[in-house]
Order: sequence, then structure tokens, then C-alpha cells
Amino acid sequence: MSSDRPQPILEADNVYVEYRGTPPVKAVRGVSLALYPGEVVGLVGESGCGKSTMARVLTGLLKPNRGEVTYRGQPLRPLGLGRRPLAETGIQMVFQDPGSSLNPRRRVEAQIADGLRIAVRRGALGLADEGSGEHSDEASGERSGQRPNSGGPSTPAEWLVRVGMEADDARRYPRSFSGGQRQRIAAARALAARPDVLVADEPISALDASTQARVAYLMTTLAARQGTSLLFISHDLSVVRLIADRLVVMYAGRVVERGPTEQVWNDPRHPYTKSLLAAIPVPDGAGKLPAVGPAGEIYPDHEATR
Amino acid sequence: MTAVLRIEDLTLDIVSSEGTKPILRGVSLEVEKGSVQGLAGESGSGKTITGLSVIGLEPAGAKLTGRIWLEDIELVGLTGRRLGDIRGRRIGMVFQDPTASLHPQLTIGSQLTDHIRYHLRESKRAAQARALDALNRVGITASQRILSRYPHEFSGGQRQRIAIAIALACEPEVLIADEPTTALDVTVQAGVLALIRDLVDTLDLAVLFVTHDLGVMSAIADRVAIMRGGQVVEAGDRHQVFTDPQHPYTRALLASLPGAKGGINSRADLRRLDLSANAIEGDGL
Amino acid sequence: MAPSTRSEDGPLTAGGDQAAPRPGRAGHQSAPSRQGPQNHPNRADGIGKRSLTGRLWRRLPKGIRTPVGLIAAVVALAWIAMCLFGAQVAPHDPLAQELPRFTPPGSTAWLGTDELGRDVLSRILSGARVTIGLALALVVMSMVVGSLLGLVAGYFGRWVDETVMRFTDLVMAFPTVILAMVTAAALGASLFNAVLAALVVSWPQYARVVRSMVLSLRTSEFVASGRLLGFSPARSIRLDILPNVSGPTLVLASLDIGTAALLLSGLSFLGLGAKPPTPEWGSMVSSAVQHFDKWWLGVFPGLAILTVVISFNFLGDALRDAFDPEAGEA
Repeated sequence: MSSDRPQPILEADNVYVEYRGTPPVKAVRGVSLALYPGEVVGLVGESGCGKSTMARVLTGLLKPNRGEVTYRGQPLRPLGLGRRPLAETGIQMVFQDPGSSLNPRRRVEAQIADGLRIAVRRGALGLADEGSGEHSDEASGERSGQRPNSGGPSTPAEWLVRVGMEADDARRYPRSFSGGQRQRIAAARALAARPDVLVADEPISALDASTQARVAYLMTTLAARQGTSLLFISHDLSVVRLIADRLVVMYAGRVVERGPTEQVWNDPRHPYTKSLLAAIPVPDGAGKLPAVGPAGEIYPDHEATR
Repeated sequence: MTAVLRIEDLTLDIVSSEGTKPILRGVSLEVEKGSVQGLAGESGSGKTITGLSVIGLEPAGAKLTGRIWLEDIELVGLTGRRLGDIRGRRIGMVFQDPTASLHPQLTIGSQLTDHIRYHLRESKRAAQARALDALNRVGITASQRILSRYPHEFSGGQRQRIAIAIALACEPEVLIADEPTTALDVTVQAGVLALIRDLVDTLDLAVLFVTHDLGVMSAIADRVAIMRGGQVVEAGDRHQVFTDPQHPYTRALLASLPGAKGGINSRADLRRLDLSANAIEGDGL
Repeated sequence: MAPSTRSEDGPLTAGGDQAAPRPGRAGHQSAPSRQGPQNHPNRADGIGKRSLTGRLWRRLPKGIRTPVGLIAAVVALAWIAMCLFGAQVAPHDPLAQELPRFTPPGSTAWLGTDELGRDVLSRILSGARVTIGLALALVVMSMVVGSLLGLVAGYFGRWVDETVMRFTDLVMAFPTVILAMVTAAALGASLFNAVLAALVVSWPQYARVVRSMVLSLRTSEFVASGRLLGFSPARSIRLDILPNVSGPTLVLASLDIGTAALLLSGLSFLGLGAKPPTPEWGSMVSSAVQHFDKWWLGVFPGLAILTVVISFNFLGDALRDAFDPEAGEA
């Protein structure tokens, strides 16, 4: 992290989350996390480490017991019963389960249109910066899909083309799509809102292995194209390390290591990160069993210094 | 090498009021003593159904043809007590979700001993001794106290080890493992994979290991079969399949994986990916 | 609920799946009312409702594919037809005392005549409108009232939920028929009051079911994503919640029609509903009690009630199949 960095766009400061129960579950214990404009941060860790809880805190879906989230320098109000303030729709999220990330009873175009509508209302997609005649028909959707970096897609059909699908998929319902296709649609919906921040919570975990890298890279490039910062949460380091600028490793509700991706991947400092990296099975045909840490090991939960 | 389990030209159709839907189209496989036969494929390829068919758990309305041999016993068409004597006794099974495969309201001791006494007709005392042995074998330090615990008192990795202990308690010759590590964290998965490998080597077990994860496959399998659309498109020695795949589908599959030879190993590799939803179509598959 | 995922992103899966993920094509092209691709954000919203009824009709035959189901559906439809045209089809005026009293079933009157010389068949046919019509009205009203309360309770949670659900529990704690009797008696005997009394006891089940569906929907990912996209609570309920609870609620309602008919007849039987000379089945059975040697007076209206209860239950089952989340759709 160089010192000439601009202000973080989204920042969590010393967040604690405890779920009620007997005994109460301390899901997040003092996590601070900053996301800077335009960067891709990989948040990794195993089930129950608190990474999904952090995703909900950072998007305002969950109110932390302690600590604060700051968005564009203002405290982020956790989502209550009312309508979310327009300015805060600049934070969007893509979820894990392709089966429930889209409303089964609404056409795909209507759901992507939700994102477009909010972008227009926030002024993030002014009609001024669209090319002329873009509303005419689906043929223009095809065209704009190939046009590099203009005003960007401004209709659901154009967005579908942008995420690698077909313009006339817009008329269909979510159930006629595969898991990978649904995650593409969910990404289109979130990105159509022109967010500053996209939090993707395990968006590829439920997909077939062969589509994971493709969907992950698609999200990364689309976010980069419109300057959206991406927090990509996953338990699978092998894909994340290819798309993330920085990695943050969580264990037992705390951050145990963070740093530039290459450094963490090539030179892990924390014992937990080391065993996490060593445990990844590699499809190289070598027949090497992944390394096993000592059984039932409890790792230290302080953050490794770099 | 001797094949303990042989699947020959297995074809399975699901017959319903909507018509006949082919699920398996002529699958042939052999599983040898002391080795792991991997069976990989994406969702819908038929890999799980193949594993289930071996133990007579094919879905309702399934029409099964072909042959499955356990040494010299033909398993296709076997029902009732004769199937029950083989399933669990000579062929053990481990499934993806140990939370679902263990009964939540019975102690693990009673689940183990019930299983042992049903198949081996041993006394309660002998069954308990055997249960403790089985638990020790899967890396759970066994005691009477452990036997009286319930599944929820164990972690996910331990539960899967217990499920393996139950599967192996009657010393079967064959183990069918259907995505046994998919629900586990990678660090826990590493331990379970090492355990299965160790059991194969020490017990001379024949394992049919079904998974969607080619990384796991590469770690554990001796021989690998790749399924697609109800067919085995490529089968062979692990090293050969991963480093010199013959079928274009296998090549396309490996080309889209991080860590594989010719796969996605750098940002430059990512950039060459075709991002459209039906990307690999262009590769002439 | 994760419905079976079709193929994963194209050709890496079964060749057979290749053609399958496109079933929507033909479907939406043949829909005549929609012209061309409309990419306008504002126009795409109301579409969910249309597909609901379309889907319902298309799936209906499957649920009643069994012989019993088919017979039940035919009987239910016949009763609905009687509800509309019963008075026209009836051979006699249901109120006219023009035939000999206590005529047994025969050529004069197919189902006999009652103590005032009225034709039983005509009274049953004309009574269909009263009994079934009011049962339908009752079910619709309980569904609307119960669902609204359930929606609000489930969506807003906390004290709103507590208040609504404790009140619901309070109503449900009373035995249904007794509470309805007490209410009807307090309001005074009339058909309208009987429906009101029945409404008091029958809305809570809708509130409970809808609330529990809303509770699980509220935490679902697409609802959260809608909220993040700035949906107001009203919009969230209208677009994300309501379409996803309406199917099961309609099924519940259709299963309830028979019960409602039974409850209303029961109140009339007790003299708390229809007043003479209204041809209502429950009151017909009631007056037949005084002449139990004239078996046709009680048996035929009783059979009418029985067939309505059974056939509408089967119809409800058929609807449940139609709304099966696993069922495919264009």
C-alpha cells in the first residue's frame, strides 16, 4: 500500500459482530478493512471465518455490534426497514447461490432494469453520456457490446451482451439459465447500477470448475471498465489470486494476513496462510497429496506483519 | 492387477410420463485392488449416478442395462436381502454431506455397532471392539466416551471421518466415495484425502472416487475417467490424462482450470479466456 | 431452494443439454400481446402476474391426470357452473310451494319435495349460488385479510410481527366452530353475518402461512439485492415478495373452499345463517332433521355439501401440482 493512495472509498473500522445464540457466536472480532477506488481485493478464508459476515456489514445489510463502516467519508447507515438512501446505492453486491440470487418470478430484463434505473436516478448514468440512438432495438445492443468503453450498456439487452449472453435472453425467466449464466445476470444487475463498490460474496463457489475462472474474470474486467472497486470473497485461493490486486486472509473472525497478492501467494507469513496455501490441490497430474497441517491445530489469531 | 469392480457398458434411462431421458450411455470402468479410480465430470455428466448405480441406488424410474461385476457377482438386478448383504458389507459408501449421512439422533457408537451387527452378526461386545478399531483407523482416538457422542458434537471433518469409519467397519473390498471432500474446507480436505490414500495402501482397498474437482482427482486418483453427457470421454493413467489429454473435452476442461498444465496460471492466461457464456463452443467440441 | 441447475455455461456439459436451455424461445415469440424486444426498464415490471395465470392454465391438466382427480375436477366445475346458472337450470321455482308435500324421489320431482311442497332438486341447484358463492367470497376475503396481515408481520418483523401474531394466536386458540357460532349469534342470524363470523375464524391460517413464507423470502438473496438497489418496502413487497407467495396461497385458498362451504352450511344448520325460505344447503339439512323418515330431504343436500368439499379439495391438489416450483415453464 503506497502512501500516495487516495482516500479509501469504503472502509470498515474495528468491526465486531456477534450472533445471538447459546453460546453467542463471535463471527467477526475487530476487523478493519479498506477498499480503494478501482482496486480488486480478494478476501479469503474458510467457512465460518467471518468473511461473509463482513460482506453483509460492508454493504450495510448487517449492523455490526461495534465498529463503523465509512463510505465516501460518510458513515454508512445499516439498511433498516425504509428505502436505502440514493447515494448509498453505490454499494452493490453479488451473492453466492445462483439459485436464489435472482427473483424466479420476474423476467431477466426487469431485474437488470432495476440496476439501470438506480444508476440513472443517482446520475451515475446520465443520458448525456450515451451514444445516440441506443434505445432503438436489440441490434444496437450487439453493437455496443463490441464498442470499447463508450457510455456503456444502457439497456438490459445490452448488459446481457456485455456479460457474454444474448440480447434476447432478456425475455426469459431465471429458471431457464444455468448457474453460471445466472451469476452473469446477477453481476449485470449489480453493475448496471454503476456502483463504486461491488462486493461479491463467493460468487463462483457454486459453479462448475470450468466456468469459475471465466465468471470471476468477467466480473473483474467489467468492474475495472467502469472504475468499480471489487471485493471478491472466496474460500478458493487458486482463482482469487489471479484476479486480486491485494489479498486479505481471515481466520476465526480476524484478519491474520494482508498484502499484495504476489507477496501473500509467494511468501505467506502467517502459519494459517501457509497451511491454507499448502492445502490447495493442484490439477497437474503429479499425484501429490496436499500438505496436512497438524490435526486440530488452532492457529494464532494476530495479524502477521509484513 | 485384478479388477474387483467392473462396470461394463452401463446404460441408464429415466423413464417418466415426459418420455425417456438418457442419463448414462455405455459407461465402462474397472476398479482395482489397492488403487483409486477417479471419476470426474461437471454437473449433469452422470458421474454420481454411475457411483450410485453400483450400490443399487439409481433414481426412481431408472432403467438400467449393462453389467456390474463385484468379482464374480453380477450386481445389476440384484434386490432385497441379496443386495443388502453386499451394500455396506462388501461395498462401502461415503457421501458428500456427512451431516446428512449420519443420523442426528443416534450416537455414533450405536450407528457403528448397528451396522456391524447387521452385517457380521457379531455380539455387542465384539461389535464395539470393532467400532473402536474402525474409529482409530480413521484418525479419531476412540474410547467408550467417544462412542456415546452424537454427530453434532464433531466438526465437519471429523464427521466425514466417522462416515468413512462406518463405511469401512465391515472391511469391504470396495469403497464408493461420492464427492467426500466437497463440503469440507481445503485444510480439512487435505487430511481426509491423506486418510483415504492411507486406507487404500494399508487395506488394499479398491476405491471409486467421484468428484467434480480435478485438483482433488489429481491428488488422490491412480487412474482417471472423465465423463460428459453420460459417457466416459477419456480414461487412463492419471499422469497421462492430466499431462497429455487425448480428448478435446478434457483439454478444454484443463485449459480453464488454474494450476493445470495449459490452464489458467497467470493474468495473461485469463486474458485469453473467451468470456461469452457458451465459450468453449468455438473449440470445435 | 435450488432448482435443478441445467447445463453449466454451455458445451462443457452433456451434449443433450445443449438444446434444452432454450425452451423460452418459442414460448415468448408466440405470445401475441407483446411486440418485439422491449428494453425499456419501466415496462417490464408487471409481467410476473400474467405468467402466473398462464402457467396455471397450462399446468392444470397435469394435476388432475388421475381418474379420481379428473372426476373431482369435473364435479367441481359442474358445481361452479350451477353456481352461475343453477337457478336457470332448475325445473321449478325453488320457493314455489306448488307440488304435493313429501313426494318421494320419482317422476314428479326427481329428488322429491319437502314439507312445503318445494322441489328439492331445484332448491339444491339454486342453493349452489348461495352456498358455493358465499364460500368463495369467504375464502377470498379471508385470503386477502390474512395475507395482508401475514405480509406486514413477516416483512416488518419486530413489534409489528409480535402484535399481529399474538392476535392471530388468540383467535386460533378458540375452537373454530364455537367461535364462529358465538360471533354469528352476537351479530344476529343472517347470511351476511354468518360470512363475517366465518371470516373471523378463517383468516388466521393465511396470516400464519404467508408470514412464514415471507420470513424465509425476506432473507433471500434477491430480496437483499433489491433492497441494495434502493427498493422501497412497498416495491420490495410488490415485486419480490408477493409474486413468490401468491402461488402457494392460492393453493391453500382452493383447498379451503370446501371447508368454507362446510362451515357456512354448519352455521345455517344451527340457524345462525340463512333464514327460510332461502335455499341454503345447511338450512335444508337442518329442516330435514324434523322429518328424518323422509330421507331425501337431508341426504341430497348433504350429498351436495359432501361433493363440493371433496371435489374442491382435489382441485386444490391439482393447483398445488401446477405451482410446484420444480415444474418447468416457458
